[in-house]
Amino acid sequence: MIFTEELFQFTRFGEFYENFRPLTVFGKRFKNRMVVFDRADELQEISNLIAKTVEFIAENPEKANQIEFFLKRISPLNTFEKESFDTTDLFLLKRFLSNFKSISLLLSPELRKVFSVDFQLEELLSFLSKGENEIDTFYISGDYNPRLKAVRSQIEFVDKEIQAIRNETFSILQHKYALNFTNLDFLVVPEMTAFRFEPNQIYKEPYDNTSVLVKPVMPELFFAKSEERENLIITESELEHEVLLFLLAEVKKQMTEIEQAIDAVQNIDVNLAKVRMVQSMELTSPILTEDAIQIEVIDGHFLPLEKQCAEKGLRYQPLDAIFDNQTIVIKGSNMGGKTVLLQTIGFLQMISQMGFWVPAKQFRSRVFKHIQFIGIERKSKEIEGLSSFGKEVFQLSEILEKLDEPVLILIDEFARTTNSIEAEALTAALLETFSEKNTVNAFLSTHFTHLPLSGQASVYRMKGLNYQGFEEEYSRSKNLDITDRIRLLNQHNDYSIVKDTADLPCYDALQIAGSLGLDNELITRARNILGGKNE
Amino acid sequence: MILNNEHIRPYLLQNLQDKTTFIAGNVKNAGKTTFLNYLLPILRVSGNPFVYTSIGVDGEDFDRITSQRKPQIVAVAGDFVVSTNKALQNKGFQLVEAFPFNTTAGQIVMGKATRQTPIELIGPEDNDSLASILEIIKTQHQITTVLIDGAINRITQLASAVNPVYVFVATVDRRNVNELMHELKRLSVLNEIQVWDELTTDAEEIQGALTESRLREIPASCNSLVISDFTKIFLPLRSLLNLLQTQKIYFKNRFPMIFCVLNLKDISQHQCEVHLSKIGFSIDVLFNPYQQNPS
Repeated sequence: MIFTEELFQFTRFGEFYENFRPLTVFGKRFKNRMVVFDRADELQEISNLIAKTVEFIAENPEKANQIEFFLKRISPLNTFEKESFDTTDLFLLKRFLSNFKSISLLLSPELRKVFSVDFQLEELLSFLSKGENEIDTFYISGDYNPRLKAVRSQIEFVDKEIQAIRNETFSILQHKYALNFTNLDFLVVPEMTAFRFEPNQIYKEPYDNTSVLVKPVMPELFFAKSEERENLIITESELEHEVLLFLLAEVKKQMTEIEQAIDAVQNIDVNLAKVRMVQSMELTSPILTEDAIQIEVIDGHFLPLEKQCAEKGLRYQPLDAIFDNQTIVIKGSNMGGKTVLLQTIGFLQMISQMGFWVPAKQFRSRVFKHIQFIGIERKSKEIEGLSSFGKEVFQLSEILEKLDEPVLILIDEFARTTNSIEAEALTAALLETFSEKNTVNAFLSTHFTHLPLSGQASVYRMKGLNYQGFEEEYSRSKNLDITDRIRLLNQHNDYSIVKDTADLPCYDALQIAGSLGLDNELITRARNILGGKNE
Repeated sequence: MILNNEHIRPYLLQNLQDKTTFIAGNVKNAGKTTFLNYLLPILRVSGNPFVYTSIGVDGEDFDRITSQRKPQIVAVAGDFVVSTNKALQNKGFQLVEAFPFNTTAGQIVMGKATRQTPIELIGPEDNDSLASILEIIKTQHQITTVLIDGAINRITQLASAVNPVYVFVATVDRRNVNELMHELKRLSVLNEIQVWDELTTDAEEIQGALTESRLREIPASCNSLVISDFTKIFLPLRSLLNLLQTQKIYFKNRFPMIFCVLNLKDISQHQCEVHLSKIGFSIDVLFNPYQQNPS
């Protein structure tokens, strides 16, 4: 199953997903793939792994910190499937292996088992570490090849000879001309002081009208030694290449084990990142089944909205709902929370099926093959040019073909832009169709007051505004701007749901419009036209 | 302040340590690499680790000071260098970091020299990569002193990562002295502009570069402007001074010039000091660091 863009937007899933922060490039690649699971046993296994990791961290907080430290030190590996390679490739592999080894030693035996961590690359790591004490560096040491070691010694010896010649030359020039070339390639000196410089000791060239640029003339031996050094460097380079070929062959022998290690690192990283979210967001394990189920949410938080409310100083009310049917109709006031309820269900379902724990005391649901949002927010390119109703029909047609597989359908005020008589009939027909399939869990929010329901769907109602409390406070307050009015509505709104056995209509649009500051005269006219029909 | 060549070492150590310093020049081949070579032995003596690199590939072959092929940079044992893997290959470097950035000349890495060796510095080609590299050097390797042989216009965007400063290197002769003084005055004025405190100061934020034409679009009612940093101001000195008389300017990120290196040609230090005095240049100046006067 792939989440559609409109579902992604409707549930504001990205705002949750951005908190999922693996530390390694392998974990980040997993994140970018946005893997969705559609088997309950697979999701249960992932959930159990999170639970075991939570337990491990609680018992070993220090070790958990150390594991994260080593994960952060793992860099992306270069591919070994190429013509030429260099020390960087081996450096990265050595760093990967040494950090992976450190991680494997920190994990409990139980976690090592579940993450399939079995460090079988000790020999390769030791090959890559020859002649070096530091674990996070790489150098083609002379210990790999006695000839390389010998050439390096020769280079070191020649370097010393070259340095001695330089020192001696500089010392002579310092003594004879008071010129200090130590650490400088050249000097600028007054031209009038330069006449006494012997051309075989000082090279000079014009700098400006009063100064000359001077450089030491090095003796013949210096050039001979420099050439000797160059030749040794060529030999060293050839020998280093031989070592590289040897090491590459060793690496290739163990590519399978390396790939297993990469998978293990990815799993550990991804799991720890999920556990960090469990801790910071107080998540719990969802209960997901393969069988038909009536969805239950206890203290379910739609985190993006909760955060937004906190930023604006508004109250957020989590969702508590134990539904008694797979086909649910949600009624309620304007601004009463119908859409948020759908968003909360979709949000919790999506994060559950991506292997995360959920922000709820309990979330019991089914594993779905498809989750479809039907509403007029859809912006998909392929249906541009259609009217709002046309877009909804398109979305509906898509999902009607999939009703034989487990599917969650979230419908936000279907057909709100077309004539109400036909829209109500169509909505009722939809509900009837859905309720005949035990593969379908459908949630439909609506303002329609006379839906001819066949009795197969359950109707719930958002409790809505406490008018008395609102009016009392509203009448006491003066000069409220729109933000204040919204805050007041928010304070007096009850966003919980109740079973609507009487199928009562909900007439509150005029009251809400008045609360938001719509002209009183206009509202009075509307009331007169209704003549009490909405009371 | 005119810096005394003989007592320059403590000054340089004090001003360069624990900072990311760009060596910038007024023109190409201003003598940036030569000055980097001058600084390296001084920093080595301090015993504190430091790293040096460049921005992009230096395509210039000749140096303005020596009029000769570009000065060679020679790393010595213990030096940390950021360049490409190809540039450091077979040079006796122990690899200590490989950054996830590639240039046409190879992957950017950091190496520690195991012996004296000539090197080519090739740094990252874009600012984001450089910022990321500097962050890794600082946080993962705890190296806080960095020298970057680089063009001034590449400093942008790095402020949040590394709080950079810059040294301005220029060659002064009779032909360019007036033009250079103009530029130094401009940089000196920009050096005085303060960092924006968004909590206490209201100001109009200018995205991107501030040019003459952009200036004309700013409403007269606006009396405070915020610009990313000084490299985003493309105004000649006169316009800049006029602007400062009518508007308060702030930078989001400040890159101070810590001192200026002037290599004099056919102009005496005294003459140059008179010019600097006329423009009210108040930043420290080091004259002719390579000059010696043998007695």
